[in-house]
Amino acid sequence: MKSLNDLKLGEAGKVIKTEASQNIRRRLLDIGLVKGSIVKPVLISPGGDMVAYQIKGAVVAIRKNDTKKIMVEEI
Amino acid sequence: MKIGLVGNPNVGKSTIFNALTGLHQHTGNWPGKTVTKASGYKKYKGINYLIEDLPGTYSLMAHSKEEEVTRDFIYNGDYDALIIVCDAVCLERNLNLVMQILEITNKVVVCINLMDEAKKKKINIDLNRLSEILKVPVVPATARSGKGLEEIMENLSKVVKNENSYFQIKYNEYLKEAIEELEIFIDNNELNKDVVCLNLLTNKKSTVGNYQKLYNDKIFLNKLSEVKNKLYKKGIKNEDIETLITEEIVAQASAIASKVVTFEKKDYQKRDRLIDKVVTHKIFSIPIMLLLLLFIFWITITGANAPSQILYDLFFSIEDDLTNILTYLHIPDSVNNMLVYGVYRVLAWVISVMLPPMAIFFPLFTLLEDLGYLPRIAFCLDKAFKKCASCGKQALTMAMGFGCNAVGVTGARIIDSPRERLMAILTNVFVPCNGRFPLLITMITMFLIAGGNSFTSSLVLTLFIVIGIMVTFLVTKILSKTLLKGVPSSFTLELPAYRRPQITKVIVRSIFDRTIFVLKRAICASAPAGLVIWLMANISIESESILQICANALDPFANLIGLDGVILMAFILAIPANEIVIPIIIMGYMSLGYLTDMNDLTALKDLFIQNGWTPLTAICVMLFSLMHWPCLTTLLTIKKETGSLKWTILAFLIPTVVGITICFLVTTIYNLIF
Repeated sequence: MKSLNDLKLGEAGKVIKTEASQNIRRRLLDIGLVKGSIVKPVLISPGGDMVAYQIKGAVVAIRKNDTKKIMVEEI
Repeated sequence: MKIGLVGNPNVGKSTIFNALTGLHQHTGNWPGKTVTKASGYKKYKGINYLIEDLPGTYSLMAHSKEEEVTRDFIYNGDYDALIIVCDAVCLERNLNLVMQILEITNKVVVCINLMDEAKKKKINIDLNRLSEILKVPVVPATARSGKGLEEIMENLSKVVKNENSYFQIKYNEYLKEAIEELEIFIDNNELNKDVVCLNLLTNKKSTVGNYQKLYNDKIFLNKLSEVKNKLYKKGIKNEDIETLITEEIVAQASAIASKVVTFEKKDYQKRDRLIDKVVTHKIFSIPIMLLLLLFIFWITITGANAPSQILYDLFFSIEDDLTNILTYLHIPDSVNNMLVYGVYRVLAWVISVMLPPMAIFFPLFTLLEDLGYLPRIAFCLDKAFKKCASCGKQALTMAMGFGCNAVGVTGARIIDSPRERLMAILTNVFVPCNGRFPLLITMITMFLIAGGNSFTSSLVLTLFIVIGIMVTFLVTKILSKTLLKGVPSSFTLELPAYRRPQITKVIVRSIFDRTIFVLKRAICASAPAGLVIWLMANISIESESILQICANALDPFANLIGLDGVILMAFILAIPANEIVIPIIIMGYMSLGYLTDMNDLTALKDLFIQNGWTPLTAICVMLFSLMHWPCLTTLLTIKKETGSLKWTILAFLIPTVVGITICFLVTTIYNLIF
């Protein structure tokens, strides 16, 4: 089990636990980032502060400090 | 018949809306393009359907202002049926919303749009199976080329007659138990008690409709806390209930998707990721962005040159005929002169100078929008915005501001955090809207670049845009340290799949919807302004015209910031529409008696030079145009969006103070050097 932030480009993870703060939690739910979902980091922003993930067929960028507490298991 | 058009952001709702109603809502390949409700009519088999295009939303558990519009619409139930539009390329995610809505009503047509994109990516969807599972019609569509619209309407005419029913989502035992406990408070004629119970449980006050009064009912409140306690003992905290509900829905959506969607090509996103690697490159992303902007400006300026001259020659060649006709009609000379030299010349100028660049710039910018490049800009600039305690989405509102600042202000609804939304609203005016673009281009080609080298001209124009962006960052930063203190909030940003824009459609639409619109506005606003100028020039107090008096009164201050009284007055009179600044300046100078032979475009430059213009004047006019009070429409929109007079006044003052300060500094430095 590791943080979503530690997932490298090209790797994929399955979400085990989301402990995001209240104001991002809803957004993560919307895009389908919940327990059991598969996420794949595909792109890092030039500033390095955001990572775009492939989730449920879409690509969604999230700030790194919002994904620290999302735990995944590498698959 | 009232029909709601709903779906995730950026799945082509507006495209379907336009195709059905024949209207022209602005579309673009990025989430959040539609932030307000639009409606139009469609007649099908003798029945009139009122179709409402609602802002995109990921779920009914609304989060931002624009999503509330959609949520309230669906919960209020004031419609005969819904069309839920899905993106065929990422159907799984879209199914979450579909299921949440099916829980409430079965008067639904599910439309799977972008079938062409899915086909290209070799994604197969078993539509019949999906329809069987969801128990509602599922229609494939490629709205851009009009495919599937007939089927949508045909199915719509059927589902409106559906017996009321709903889709049963199976919740886990904890939630089921909670629902059972709360059910006794719900009317028996309620279609789906589960939804109401869960909404009550998650304190979604505005979604429970008639049951809001329950929150004042002691018996209910006791029961509610009892249920919540029970859940808590099982390890489900209050704030986790919503998560739990969503997890159930997402899991079932996944299960359905796995039954109906098959991917023939595993790496169907490969091409998009490759493009992304380039345009979001660590070093090249910003240069690419600026080069693209430069390129667009270059094409605009180069391409506009010849048509501008041709139009001007055309207008001028019939000027004498016009005079002759008016003379023939026995129109008095004074009126004749006013109409031809005043009104006609100004109109000729407005059209020949404004039309060609707009007719080129808008389609190009729209192409960029349709392609899906704008969200990548937001992605790249997020770090910079974060440093100003804002977010990358502000870049999207700025892009909207390029078209119209009022649109940019409304568009700020895509930003969740109220603090960040306000910052985006207050700084939007630093992006030149299409009403100000022609002024910038004219000033550059007329005064700054000798011989009209279009590459250098576009370079200077890009520089001015960059100045606007820098000021945006600076002001945002200052706001975040003073009036709007706070830390950057969280947000998610979708990077949509690149789509091939429909080039002809884009060109036709942007010319008809945007170019003609702006031109009409310019002409309409010029006429009354022309009248005001004419009156001011012709009503005299002690042998001095009011125009002269006003210009003289403004002169000392205007000179400090590199302008003159007439220019400053033009900016003031142009509050209704920025498009008319230059027309008013021309009218002002002409009515002050400096009539000149306007035989070609350079005549205009002569007119300005006769009135004491120097390159400094041109620079300050540009800077002031970039940074001054927003136009009336924008101010009213700000008032509406913020609901506060205080912020509206600040939205007026901030750019004005910044503009005056910068123009003053530039003038002072220029005067020291030269």
